[in-house]
Amino acid sequence: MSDTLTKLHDVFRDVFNDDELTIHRGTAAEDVDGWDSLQHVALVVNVENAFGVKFTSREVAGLKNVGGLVDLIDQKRS
Amino acid sequence: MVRGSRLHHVGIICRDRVQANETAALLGLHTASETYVDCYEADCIFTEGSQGCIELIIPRGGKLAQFNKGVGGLHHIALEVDDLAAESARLNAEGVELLEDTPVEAGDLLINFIPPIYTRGVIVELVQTRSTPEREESP
Repeated sequence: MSDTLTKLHDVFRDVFNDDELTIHRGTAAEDVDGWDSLQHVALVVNVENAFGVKFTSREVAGLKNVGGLVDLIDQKRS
Repeated sequence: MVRGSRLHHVGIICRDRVQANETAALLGLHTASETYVDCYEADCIFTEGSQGCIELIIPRGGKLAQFNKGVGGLHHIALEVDDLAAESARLNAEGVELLEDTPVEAGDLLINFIPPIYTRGVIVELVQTRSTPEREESP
């Protein structure tokens, strides 16, 4: 598991208030209880804060799964 | 254009009709019209208002019933546009993907939504009032 995905795990568990939540690159919104459009905003803001990056709305809207988010974070931090 | 457009209504999701009635009574709201929107599985009660009104939404199921962990609450603001198709095209050209590919018919309204990711937390409904034959024929 990449460092980014490991750290992202913590963010997800915090945002969705679920210490047992497990994600992988293929995890998508329909796989996580409560991952609706508003929770998606909360997730994005928490990811931005955790990783010190900033996403555009267009970038975020184009994300399909956790793998896309990991790649976008890594791209922003490189 | 959305910019400078009119506030049409504010949408509040209620868990059930009892809560909707209690909210209406508390705020002194009176029903102006009610319609069922099939694709959202919700009864929508528009209350009377002169400069924008309050919509009380009562989901019968579906995603709206899960809103705010099933608690309901303030859900969206709705802005009225003159031409929803034109506004949708303008937003699409700016990279905004509206919730629906084509506008949804909701009573005498055509509606679509700007997902909250574009506003960082606010669901914005775009509303176009449809002309009805009755209205067009009115003197």
